[in-house]
Amino acid sequence: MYLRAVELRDWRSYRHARFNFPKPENGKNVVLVMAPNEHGKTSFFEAVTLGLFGREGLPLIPRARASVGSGDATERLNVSYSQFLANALHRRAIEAGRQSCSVTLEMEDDDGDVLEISRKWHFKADGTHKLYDDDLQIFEGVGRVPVRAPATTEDKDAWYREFIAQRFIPSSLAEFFLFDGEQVQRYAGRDMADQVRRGIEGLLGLPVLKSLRESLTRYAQHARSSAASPSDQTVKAVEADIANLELALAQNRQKREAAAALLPQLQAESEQLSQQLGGRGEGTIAMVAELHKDEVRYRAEAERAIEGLKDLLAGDIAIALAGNDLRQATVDRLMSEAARERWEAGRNEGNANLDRYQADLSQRLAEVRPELEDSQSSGVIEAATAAWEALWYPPPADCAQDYLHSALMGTARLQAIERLEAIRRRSASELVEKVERFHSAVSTAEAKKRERLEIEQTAPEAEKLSARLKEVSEEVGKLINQRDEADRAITALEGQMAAKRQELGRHMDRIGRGAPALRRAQAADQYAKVLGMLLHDAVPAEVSAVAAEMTRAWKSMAHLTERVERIEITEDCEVRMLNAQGEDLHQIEKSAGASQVFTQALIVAITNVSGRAFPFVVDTPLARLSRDQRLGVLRTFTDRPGQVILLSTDEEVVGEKLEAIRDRVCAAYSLSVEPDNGVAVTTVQPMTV
Amino acid sequence: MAGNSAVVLLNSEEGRALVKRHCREANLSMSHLFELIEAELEQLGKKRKAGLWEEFDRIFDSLEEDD
Repeated sequence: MYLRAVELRDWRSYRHARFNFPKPENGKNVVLVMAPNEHGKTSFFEAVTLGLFGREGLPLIPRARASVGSGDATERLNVSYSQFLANALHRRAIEAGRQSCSVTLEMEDDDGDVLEISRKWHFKADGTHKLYDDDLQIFEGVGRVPVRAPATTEDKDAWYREFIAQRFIPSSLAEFFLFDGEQVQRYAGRDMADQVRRGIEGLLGLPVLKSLRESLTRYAQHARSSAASPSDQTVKAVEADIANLELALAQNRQKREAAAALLPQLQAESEQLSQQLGGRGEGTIAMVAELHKDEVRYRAEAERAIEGLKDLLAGDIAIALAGNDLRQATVDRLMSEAARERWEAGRNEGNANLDRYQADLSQRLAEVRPELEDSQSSGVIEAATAAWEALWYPPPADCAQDYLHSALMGTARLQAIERLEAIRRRSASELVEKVERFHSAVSTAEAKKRERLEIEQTAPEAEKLSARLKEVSEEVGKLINQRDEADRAITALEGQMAAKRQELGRHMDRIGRGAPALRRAQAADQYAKVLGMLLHDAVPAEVSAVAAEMTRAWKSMAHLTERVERIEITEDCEVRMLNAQGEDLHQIEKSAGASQVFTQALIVAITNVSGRAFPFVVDTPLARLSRDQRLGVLRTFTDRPGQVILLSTDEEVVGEKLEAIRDRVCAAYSLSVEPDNGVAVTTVQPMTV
Repeated sequence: MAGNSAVVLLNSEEGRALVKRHCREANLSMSHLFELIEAELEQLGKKRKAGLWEEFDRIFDSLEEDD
């Protein structure tokens, strides 16, 4: 199969261009398209790629992938299809009234049948790509019979994709036929085994299976998380909690029942013991001590009563026995003697002033005028003296005539009177009272003693009962606590149990609701696993063929290859460079150029093993290669029966490199750019080489 | 079977036999595997694989029905 013509309309810098390529034959299979950078070589490359595959070809376009990456078609796209195409429409097209661009590829297969594939992209007036308006037309044969999906086909895109893959090339293999030199550089930077594996995967179309495996894995994760159902561990944990709660409930109920069973008997015993002890219970010894103290106190009181009685008898009893009449007569006498003492005191105090009174009166009488006679003055003084003495005489009626008790004068007399009065006030009841007090105290002391002796006799038994009562009381207390604690625990546990059962119910509901999603996730995981095994097992089947082709390609491209007899690839895609003795010469020279040569040899090997006779379209093939390497690569690339289209800068395939392949060149074109009011327009001219 | 040519492995007898063996061992359906491959191929060239999971849902739900 070869590319017979490429026609571009309003594609990037191409307003309109048609490339016609001759059929490769007679050893002439190389088409050269030469131009400096920015003249449209890469746009041509992209046109061929997207023209063939449409959106599926975007991963094959280096400019559409992440800016730094592995260089292969499995990298993430950094633009969408429409974003990439936003710059595809020629800049003058819209203002010229044209809102579409197209690429037409004419292929001729080995039987001479022509297949034409034409894609047209439509844009809005502002240059935005209209995604769903893309046109794909395929024509077959000289008569250009349209190729259409059968009317019953549900998925027409899939039908056309399949058609293109069968009649042209699968997109997964396309990166080995359509590539640029810089892409090769990036690819070459990777580990050799990795390159070989990816190359073989591409050969077999496995990238789709890898991508599918990743999609299924992500899908399964999403399905599981969206099911939001609890894990088995979560459910088991809740069930375990419920089991533990049930056990705890049973244990607490048992404790409560055990306490409830024992309490009545113990409480009855406690009641009985209390009655037996009569409230004495504890403190019997203290009671005995208390009774003893009381006894002592009452005996002391009895003593005091006796002492008082004795004092009474020893003190005033004689006077009391004298009788009331004598005591009263004595008091009266003492009172009259007290009156006399007062009369005498007054008289004596008056008599002490009589002389002074007489003298003063005498003097006053001497001053009376007419002067009195001595007899008159004397008579006056005698009369005054008599009047004076009449003040005191006769003494008061209650005065005694003399003193019988002259020893009791003044205060002593008064005290004697008070004592006699006090004795008079005392009655027989005082005596009786003291006697009665004595008897009462003694009686009470005796009663305390008897009570004490009685208790002391029963104390050992009471102590036993008291100790037992204490035990029983403590036991009752413990059982009541046990019962109450168990009750509280049961209440709390029942609450927790209800909550856990609700939680389990919610989990089971969610499991039920999430079941479909989980089933899908499980199925996705199973298919992802099968794909993994397929990916692992598919590669080894191709390694021998690839290794053989790589040996041929590499030996023709690289220099200093004499030592290497062959390249061997293990089932794990490890590359071994073996000499004639089968010894592994280890890795090849690590220069950038040598790595690229290895990569390009791999590309050639893959394309040869694929058996596809599809054209090579290579953009800038010789970047970063040494002179010898360039020659080797050029020769190897072009040394194939199929068509090779080289998009070369004006410095690459020139001079000796051109000479090396000149006899294989069947056509050559140059691209030039002419400005059209600031817009670059590429034109194509045939050239002679 | 749609999508075969895009996955070169499935174009050869050896490749199909390998797929058949692995599907049988895993007790999975080959036809559903091809449906999944087709769904993935539909997404080639898209920056985001919109609609893919809905397609997976449909395929896996049909597994249930077939069972």
